[in-house]
Amino acid sequence: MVKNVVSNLATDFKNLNEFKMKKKKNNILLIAVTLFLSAIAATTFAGDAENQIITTEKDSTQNKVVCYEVFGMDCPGCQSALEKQVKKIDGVADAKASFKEKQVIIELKPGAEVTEKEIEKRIKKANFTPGKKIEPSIDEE
Amino acid sequence: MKNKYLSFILLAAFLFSAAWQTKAEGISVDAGLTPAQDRIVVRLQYRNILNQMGDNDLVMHMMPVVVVYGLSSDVTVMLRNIYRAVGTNETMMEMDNRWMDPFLMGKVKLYRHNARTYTVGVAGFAGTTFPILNSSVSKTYSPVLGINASYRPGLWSFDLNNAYEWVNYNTEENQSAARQLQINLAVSRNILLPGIENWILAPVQEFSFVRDNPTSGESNFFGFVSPGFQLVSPHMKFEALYQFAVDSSQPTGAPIGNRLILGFRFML
Repeated sequence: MVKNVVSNLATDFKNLNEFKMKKKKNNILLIAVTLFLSAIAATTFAGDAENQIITTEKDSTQNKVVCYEVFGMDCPGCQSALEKQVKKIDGVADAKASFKEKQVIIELKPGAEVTEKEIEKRIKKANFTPGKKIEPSIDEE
Repeated sequence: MKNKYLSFILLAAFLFSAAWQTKAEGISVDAGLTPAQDRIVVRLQYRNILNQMGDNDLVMHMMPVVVVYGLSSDVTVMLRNIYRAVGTNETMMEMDNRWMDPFLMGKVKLYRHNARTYTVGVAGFAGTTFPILNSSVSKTYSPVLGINASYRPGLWSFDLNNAYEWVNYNTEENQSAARQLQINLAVSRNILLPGIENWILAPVQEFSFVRDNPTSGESNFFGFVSPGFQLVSPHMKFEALYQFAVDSSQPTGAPIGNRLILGFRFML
């Protein structure tokens, strides 16, 4: 009787030890997988961080945009005539005119200083009349 | 409201008084407005002209090439030359395929007002052909003087062209073969094309009147009623016009026929 009890206890203890060993192995595997995933994640996030810096730099150097009302344009041909004149200004990166919106949106180069007087002069050279400096309205058509 | 009507009546009176000396060219929508400084416009046209002498047809294909340059916002120069190809010639007149004499013209801004809802412009011009290629019969100049006016309320356009031409002015005899008064009124309306940004379609209706006063012989006049359209983009314009001849009975016995005009304009 006593022999049987001792034998059972020994078996249980052995099973318990095997279970503990398996659990330990599983934990080690889990840690290894976690470390591996962490390493991959770290690499990925490091790349994003670099991109983030570039993006921030881009944002900080984004070109300044100004917009003026322009009167006298009545067709797409007028738009291109005005754009040609405004793009001649030193410091202007791009210009987009709209006869429908009666406006010209001017993108300045980073750090460029263009006076309102110069912009108005160019609008007049295109035979149009400059209006107020406004917020650009975007045509959604 | 009264002021608006009064302004319109005054403007109409002004335009028609200015119209007394005018130039009829066919699709001349930029009449009273000078282009921007440094603007270059190249205009290529094809004109199919049918004239008749009795039962005999005279079909000509005229291909004018026009180059316009904006010297300043106020002054524009224009050089035109025409290549003439004779299609059918059942008449006794001898005509060959050739470049015609070049025509040089200067246009000056006299007045322009750009308001929020409309634009008004008046421009004067002077030009002449030069007998470099000796294509004219009398081998002389044909000076032209004129005044044009434009009124652009919103999407509408009203352009009045006026010219007085001394046709084949002979410097030795100090007289021209004929004096020609030309008046042209063009009305058009811009239609925005949905889904095509920066392109417009503009149906055009022109009315032309020409009074011809030859030095010898009777004066006569004729006209054209010309429907057409333009397709306009920022750098290119396609234009088409069909000129129906009106009252084309001429004392010379050469009635003016209908004309087709097709053209491209490149705006740089």
